Amino acid sequence: MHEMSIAAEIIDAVQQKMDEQHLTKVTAVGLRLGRLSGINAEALAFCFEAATQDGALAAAKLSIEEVPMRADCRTCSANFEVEDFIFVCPRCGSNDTNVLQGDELHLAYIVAE
Amino acid sequence: MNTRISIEKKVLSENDRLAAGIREKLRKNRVVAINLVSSPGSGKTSLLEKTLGALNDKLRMGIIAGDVQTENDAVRLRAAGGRMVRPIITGGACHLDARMVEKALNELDLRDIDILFIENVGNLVCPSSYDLGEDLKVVLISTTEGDDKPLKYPAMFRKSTAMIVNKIDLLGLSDFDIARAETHARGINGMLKMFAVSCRTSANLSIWYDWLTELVTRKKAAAL
Repeated sequence: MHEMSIAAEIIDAVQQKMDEQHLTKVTAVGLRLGRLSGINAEALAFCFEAATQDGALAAAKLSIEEVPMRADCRTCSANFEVEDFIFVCPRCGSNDTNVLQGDELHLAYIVAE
Repeated sequence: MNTRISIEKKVLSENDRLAAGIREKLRKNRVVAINLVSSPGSGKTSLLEKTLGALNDKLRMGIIAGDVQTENDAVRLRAAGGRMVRPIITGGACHLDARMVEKALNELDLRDIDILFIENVGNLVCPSSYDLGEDLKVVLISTTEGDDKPLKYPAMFRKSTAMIVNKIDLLGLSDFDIARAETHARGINGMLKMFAVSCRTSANLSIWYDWLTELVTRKKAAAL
């Protein structure tokens, strides 16, 4: 369970942005999350809420956009969506594949009032 | 009025920055670094004890031993002949991060090390999110666990370079099927290098030692 440390990192980054731009109230925090990041979205949302009960982020809702995993095949160059973590090329069956997306843990945006 | 402000920043960018610094230091000193991960009790410390016993005269080994609460692993590794062992006690945290490793590295002289093992906290989830600046991750499982471990913790198996199945001396006493474990792992990561060993009987460990020696040779030649 490392979602609490991740929530703390997110809160720090938002706070930093608020200070820089002299913002007083943030109503939404947008995150892009891939399943390869090793972060559980539900647990993270729970931790974020618990850690922002009061303070400058009390009104902030965490909005998580899940990024699907995609890979390409080093054998036949097919580009495909990875389902259930099976990194096998659906066209030629090769398992020599390269991850293109799905390991994101990105703070995308904030919405401020 | 609501304003949307774009940030587009990796949440772990500070960890990644520190990890990049560690990687650069390791590169300059031509030190191979392996981030060793597993569930609790799979045999990370036993593997390192054996490796020290076999390679201590040939390779200069540094070990950073992460533990949630005690220094027991570091004590075991020193008793096994480890000369450059630094413990990290995470104080409850379920993973090592680059800041902890950087601090431990400051107490080791990289010029005296050929290969550095970072023994992570026993956990197959959290350590997968944190780059420690290593060259590669090695994931260890054992025959007293389920052979579906790769399916349960796919992110870690995808990010690893090698998988070791330990405790093969106990095969037959549980339902663990090596072929099944390897098939599961290969679906997630077709390039995984596989080892099947027993730290208790030393079975097949020489293959692991040869691989480590080859990694050191490649790193010295700047080919890793």
